[in-house]
Amino acid sequence: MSGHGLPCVHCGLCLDTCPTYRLLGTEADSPRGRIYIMEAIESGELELDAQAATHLSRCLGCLACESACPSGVSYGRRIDEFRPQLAARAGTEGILKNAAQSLYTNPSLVDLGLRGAALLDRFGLGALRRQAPGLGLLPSASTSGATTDNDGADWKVTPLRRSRVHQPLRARLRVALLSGCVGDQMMPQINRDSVEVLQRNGIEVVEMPGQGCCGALALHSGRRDEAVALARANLAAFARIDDVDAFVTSAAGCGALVRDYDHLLAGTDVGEEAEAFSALCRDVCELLVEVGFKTPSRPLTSAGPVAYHDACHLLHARGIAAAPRKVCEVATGSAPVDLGENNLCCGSAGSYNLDHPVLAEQLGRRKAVLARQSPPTTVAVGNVGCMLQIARALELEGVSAVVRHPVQLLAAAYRQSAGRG
Amino acid sequence: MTFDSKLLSELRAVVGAEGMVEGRASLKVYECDGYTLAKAAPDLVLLPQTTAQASEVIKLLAARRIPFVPRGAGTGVSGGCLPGDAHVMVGTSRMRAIRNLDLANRIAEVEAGVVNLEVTRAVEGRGFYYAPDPSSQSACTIGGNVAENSGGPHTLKYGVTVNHLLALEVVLPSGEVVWLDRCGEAPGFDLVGVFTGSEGTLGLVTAAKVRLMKKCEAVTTLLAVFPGVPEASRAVSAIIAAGIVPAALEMMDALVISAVEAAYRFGFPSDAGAVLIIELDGLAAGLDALAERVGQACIGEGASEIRRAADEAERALLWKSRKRAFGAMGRLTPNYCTQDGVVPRSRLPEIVAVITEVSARYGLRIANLMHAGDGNIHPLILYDESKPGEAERVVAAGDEILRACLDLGGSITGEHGIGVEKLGLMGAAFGTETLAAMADLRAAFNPLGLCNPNKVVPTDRSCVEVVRPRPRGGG
Repeated sequence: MSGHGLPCVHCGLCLDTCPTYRLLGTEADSPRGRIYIMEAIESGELELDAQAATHLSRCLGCLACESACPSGVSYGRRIDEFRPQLAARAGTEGILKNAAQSLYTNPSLVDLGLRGAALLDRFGLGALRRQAPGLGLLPSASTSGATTDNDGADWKVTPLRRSRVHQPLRARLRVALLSGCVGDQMMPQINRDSVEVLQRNGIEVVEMPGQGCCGALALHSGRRDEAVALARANLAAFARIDDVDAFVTSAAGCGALVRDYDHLLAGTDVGEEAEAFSALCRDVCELLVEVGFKTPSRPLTSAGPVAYHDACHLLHARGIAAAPRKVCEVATGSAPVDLGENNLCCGSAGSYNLDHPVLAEQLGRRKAVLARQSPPTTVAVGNVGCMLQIARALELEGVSAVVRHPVQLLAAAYRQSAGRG
Repeated sequence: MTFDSKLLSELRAVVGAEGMVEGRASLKVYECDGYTLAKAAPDLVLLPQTTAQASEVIKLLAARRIPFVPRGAGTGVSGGCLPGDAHVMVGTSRMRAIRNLDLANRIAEVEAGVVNLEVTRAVEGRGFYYAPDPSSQSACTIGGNVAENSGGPHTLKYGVTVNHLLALEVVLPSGEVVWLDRCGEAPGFDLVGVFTGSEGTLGLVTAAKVRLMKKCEAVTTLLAVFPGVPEASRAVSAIIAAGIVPAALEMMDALVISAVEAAYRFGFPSDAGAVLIIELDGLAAGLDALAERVGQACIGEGASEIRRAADEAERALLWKSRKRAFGAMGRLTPNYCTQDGVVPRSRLPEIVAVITEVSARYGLRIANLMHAGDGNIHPLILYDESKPGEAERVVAAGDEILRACLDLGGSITGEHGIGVEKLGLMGAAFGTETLAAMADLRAAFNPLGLCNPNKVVPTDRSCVEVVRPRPRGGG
């Protein structure tokens, strides 16, 4: 028990917030069940056999249980500490998974995948491709989060710095953008729009060469050493730039881990730097609400009814619920409705699609079914992984809504107000 | 216990591989519910998806005289679904359909595995809700609520689960499916009333028709701060004696406040000896005047401060703090035992004195959480199961408090049930003839004792000592 934070008192309040328990109904696939298994393994009562590993590895890491837990059990950190053992057990399957993840975090290979996907789509094989677990997640032109003012054609990889708004003449804040890896490849518009929105609000966005993947995929897959190495590399990159007021990310998954660098690197030679860095990390919507942002003169009514879905790593890992909704509201002129089951993961969860395609798809389709009930024109969600997952699910279920990051809605509203819509 | 392969394949044919839980790692978590002082893992858990499947598996078990234990979400706190002498568990976690919402008649028909709060979520958009609101309502199931006749903070004005049930679909221990119906005030015996609160000893609930309530026009929630539990206890009686029936009237003592403050940072005064949470609802007109009268009654008994939730968000956080107080105890202690007793509300100050004395004598910290308006006390006894002998002391201290409740004219449980936890106190609470009558009633539904054996009513067969709480070796 010691070293794992507060103890689980077996109250069961986490059960119904857990996506796998909701789908499977088996308690070993609930947070309480997983804690039980981990404790039994630690005490030597159980071995980490195939059955135990299955229950543990099914965890999405969405952290909804932490939001529900009245006892403050640090479930996420706890299971992450277990993941190396799970990875070690996984054998060949694990090697394949790691290879697949490397593809996803390697810019040129993702680019290749995107081109391949576009080719398939062009030959009318898009629907078929969407069914495939790996390829299916790659965005197609119509859902790739293209900005509303250029009709979705421009989804190719566009370097971050080619932003169409100049840096503010007299900046009130100076921030650096954590561009991420796979997200920036697949939906570069999000980062580009983030930069634009920040700049239009008098915030200078500085370049940050040398940054890379935050390490979340590696950490949550049990490759802790790799995650630590990536975190160190990022800290070194950030150290090379001058004073900034904040480090901003548009991806909730990355945002949760960079906020946790202080924990990941605690007790190392860079522990203090990590602590200082983590404290400055902000989600883009969080920062906007914190420092204030302009209301566009014309709201983006073309976005239609907007349904907001909470990204788990915003809601559960960071407790951020109001800020992205506020951004949507200011952008479109009316408060978004909830998509429904907002505290339940969409099944994206890092590389969960690759590891547990069946469960991931069931969770994804649940979102699409909810979207069908009161069809929104736009589904807004503040994390690229969730956007890809929900876009795929909408397509599979034949629901026509588009998926946008809240900051994209705001950027489009600003552009429209500036007479460029 | 090992099962013959023919039975296993027959069961699998009914519920499918995904409805069969076998193997130690998968079964381990089922060894207890929220009551962690007694543990025993089942050898097989069956998770039917439909009433027909539940009926089929129970028929297969009954044919071989194999006893079983029903389980909902495992949030109970008296060990009601401890496997004990049964080695098979039948769970309702995969029976989650809301079968029908009949708003014109204010009835929802839901399957047993539907979570309490989900019923409200399904109808709140249209101004309705399901009234019984146990603290675990975000996780506990309707089937479990029926088994335990669950209460909650709002029972003071609105009653407990049995007051909101219209009909029950149950699978009897023989596997037969029956509807117990009291719709339209059906004549004859009230079998819904018999079944509710029977803690799974009469059969498995598979669905229920529940009453939906219309939300009140206005609601306001007060927080009254007192120097200590005795003053707050007297204020409870003063409010009721003034002819006011609040929707909820809850008490938390200083220890509980410190735990929930750590968890939710509501902003309770750090020097408060006790607080009352008082909710008033009804028509908007007159609510302010009522709140004023309640505030005066509290001040008259020594309240130092009266606060009123400014908006719905503040009200929600206040209730979250209260409803999750049990779980928040993990912030103070590795283990705790939730006790549940009742005294006439006018005698709250006396039982509080007993609890204080017991706490000091046993050297155990006891936090007090109460549905004070009902005289329903929840002393939370904090302990560390890794310390030898501590769990036994917890059991003994709990017993003393409950016996004191009986002496004051109360009961050994308000809403958590007997389960295995309080089996040994049934003899103190009821005479031999009453217990025999209960056993006869059970036998009418469950003649072979196949469904949840050795719970609630002590029998000759059950050696009470065997199922008395015992600590887990070594922790």
